[in-house]
Amino acid sequence: MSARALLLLGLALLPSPARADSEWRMWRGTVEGAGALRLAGSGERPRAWQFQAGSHVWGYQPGLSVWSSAALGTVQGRPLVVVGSYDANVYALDALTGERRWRFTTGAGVYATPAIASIGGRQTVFAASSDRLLYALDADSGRRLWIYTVKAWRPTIGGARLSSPAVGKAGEKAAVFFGHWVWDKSLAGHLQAGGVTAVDATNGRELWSTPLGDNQLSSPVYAVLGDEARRLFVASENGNLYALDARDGKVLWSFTDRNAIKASPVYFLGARGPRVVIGSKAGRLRCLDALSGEEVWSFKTSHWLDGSAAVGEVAGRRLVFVGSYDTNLYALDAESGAMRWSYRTRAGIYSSPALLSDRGELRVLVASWDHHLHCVDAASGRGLWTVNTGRPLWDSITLGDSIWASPSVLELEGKSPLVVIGSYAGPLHAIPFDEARRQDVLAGPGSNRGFWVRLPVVMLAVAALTLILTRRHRRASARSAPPAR
Amino acid sequence: MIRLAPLLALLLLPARALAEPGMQRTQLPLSKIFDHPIFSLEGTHVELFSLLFLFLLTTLVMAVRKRRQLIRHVVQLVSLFVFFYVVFSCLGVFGMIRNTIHGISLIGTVHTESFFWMSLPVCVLAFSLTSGPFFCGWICPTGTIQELFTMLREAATRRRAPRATPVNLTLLAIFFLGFLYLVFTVGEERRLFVEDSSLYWAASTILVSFLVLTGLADDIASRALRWVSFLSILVSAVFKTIITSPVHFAFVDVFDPASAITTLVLGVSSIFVGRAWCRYLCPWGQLMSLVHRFSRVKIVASASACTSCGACVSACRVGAVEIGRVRTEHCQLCFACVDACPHGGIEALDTWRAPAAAEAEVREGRAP
Ligand code: SF4
Ligand code: SF4
Repeated sequence: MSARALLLLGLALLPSPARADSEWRMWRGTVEGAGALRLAGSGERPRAWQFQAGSHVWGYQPGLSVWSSAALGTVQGRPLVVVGSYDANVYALDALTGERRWRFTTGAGVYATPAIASIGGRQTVFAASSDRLLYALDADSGRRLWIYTVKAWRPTIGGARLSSPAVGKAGEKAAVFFGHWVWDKSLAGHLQAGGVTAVDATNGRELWSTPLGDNQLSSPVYAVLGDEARRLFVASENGNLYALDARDGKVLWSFTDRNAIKASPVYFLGARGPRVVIGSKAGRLRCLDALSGEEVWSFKTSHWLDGSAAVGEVAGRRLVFVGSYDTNLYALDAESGAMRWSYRTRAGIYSSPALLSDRGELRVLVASWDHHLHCVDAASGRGLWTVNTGRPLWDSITLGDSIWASPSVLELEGKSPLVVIGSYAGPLHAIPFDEARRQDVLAGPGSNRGFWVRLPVVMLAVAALTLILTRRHRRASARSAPPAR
Repeated sequence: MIRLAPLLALLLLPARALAEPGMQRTQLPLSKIFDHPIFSLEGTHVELFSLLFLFLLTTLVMAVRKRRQLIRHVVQLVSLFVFFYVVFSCLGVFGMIRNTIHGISLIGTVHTESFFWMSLPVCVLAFSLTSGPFFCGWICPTGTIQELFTMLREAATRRRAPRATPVNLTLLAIFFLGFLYLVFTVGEERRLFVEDSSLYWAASTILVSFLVLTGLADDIASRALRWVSFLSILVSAVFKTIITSPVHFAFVDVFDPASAITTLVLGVSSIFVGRAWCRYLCPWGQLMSLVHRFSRVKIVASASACTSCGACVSACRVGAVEIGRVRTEHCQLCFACVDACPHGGIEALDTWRAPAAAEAEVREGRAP
């Protein structure tokens, strides 16, 4: 029996992962990218709340995001929202009331979603900050347990982007995996180093580190393919998707796309084997065989794919949901890549979808540049409601440079699910699902009024300028021409 | 007319991009030949190689005198093909300026990417300095599409200079209304990001063409508008304001109706004024005209051989020739005037071989 066949057999014996996990172990919570956490319900009902970060950043910088996507967990029986902010803090808030439990200040913006997992009986938050450090914090008190330094400070250091940590096992040790990219401003320094590192989750000691090109890396997804086959899938802006062995960080295969990749991969166990799904800046979503890296199917959207996909089940069939900058949310058959439906918002979709179950029906949530959070029925693609999350803090933003926050969902048994999303308008919103549904549905075409007002103004200005130029030119040539006799 | 047949087929492309209201979103208006990089070297993209090939091809065939205009159209067709079906990154006349700025801003962060963004504009500029700014006359797809429409007009009316007949003016006005209607319907359906600024440029192209046709605006004076166009793109690139995708619709592999409409408008405007966009508004064209001052090859007219027959004037589709004089800053190095002059009165001057003084003499007509 070949190794591949053994692996497949092992996979068949593994229990299929539940849609919502009980721990937020990586960037979208689960390997399948649901962005949801399911908890046993307590007596209390969650209510709507908002939370503002401590300070503002006045200039937009490419790559910046006001909030990271929120991670969800529990401490002492109460659900917890942990979220990074551009004000360099990691905030832990009570999910039911929005009260701040603790705040931890790092040296730079925290754009990566933290991971929350129980390590040695202690709920631990792993947060990667742009100050080149990975922090392990006690989820209860916010106390620092250990830090890991990706690159020591030096005077010419330009900056760093750390991706969301994923918690898993490297060999027998509990480990935290994360991607990092550090650059040096000085040309002589010539440092632009991307890589993935595994550190011991209990003490922060480095287990292995694999350099991967000189570009930014996406958040890794940690997947268990079999007892001895634990894999990390991570994409790089240089257009490659890498499969790493979680034990030693060796690159097992890589897949090269035609264009840059900003999105993070997701993983699912398909009917014919394990699969990895990744979208690229060329707008193509690819489904690859997780064992070999061969392409199984691909689907072309008309614009960038910057968010992860999410895999969910509707009426016994696996669907892949993905939002594109071409304004559409797509639902594709996970086995064939055939399109089931598409749902159009008024502007490009930047977020990864979050999946939740509303009285047994699967719903998809996405955030779009039309400044709304959209809820869509996963079976039909019908829009259910939208919530206005506000306009961005800055007038000029380069589209497609930042990974803005995606929605996260807390599913409490017997209660209405709680949707948490950090808005680029400033506040972090928590919206109980049942309250959101009462808002108006924002469907159909938007208004182009701005364009029709600006167009005549521009045309008048151009006409005036042309006539002024002509007059000046004619006067000048009249002066230089010999006087007519 | 037979020569125009393959060009005519290409006309259908922009129409195709627009004409699919319920477009299946799995399909793009244009699909690319290469879906994977040919070279696995990180950050090395196939477009650089295809463009280098185009440029080398052009520098080689440019010197052939026999049937040069036919050869030029063939090169233009090859280039259209390359731009539509090979090149991914935005190489539009707007995009190249933004790419350069973006590439410069990336020095010190990601060198492979910085190289990627700057390689094409730098390649165009370098070739323009050493072999003359032939990019406009031979390679630029936006230029080619316009020239195509201008040639159609010429074939239909058997004349080169456009005239301000009431028919022409009415047609242009109707076309402008059609443009507004198209923007309105497509915008209503949200298949268009109406903040796409290329539409303002498209509308301005029609407007300036109209003003020039009626004689209200002067053809040469209006070309100063290119400065405005160039500076606004430059400023927006430096300050990173949102000017979303004012590109040629074929370049990026994304669905962008605003660019498709703009491309169509540039083409149709060129029916009324030859290469209208190149003349009045092209920001990249402004940069090329700056480069032309310092470039090695220039087109110059020698007054001594000139019999004032006017063949060169009607040959030039950008209106850069007056009898006995070539306006270097507007010339696109297409050699049409050189090939049209029956007396060899216009020639390409290699300013590296002939010192600047000789150039001046040729221009003044003092040379033997
Ligand atoms: S002026 Fe602009 S559009 Fe015209 S050929 Fe040159 S670069 Fe192309
Ligand atoms: S001046 Fe001559 S070479 Fe230059 S654009 Fe006009 S016809 Fe072409």
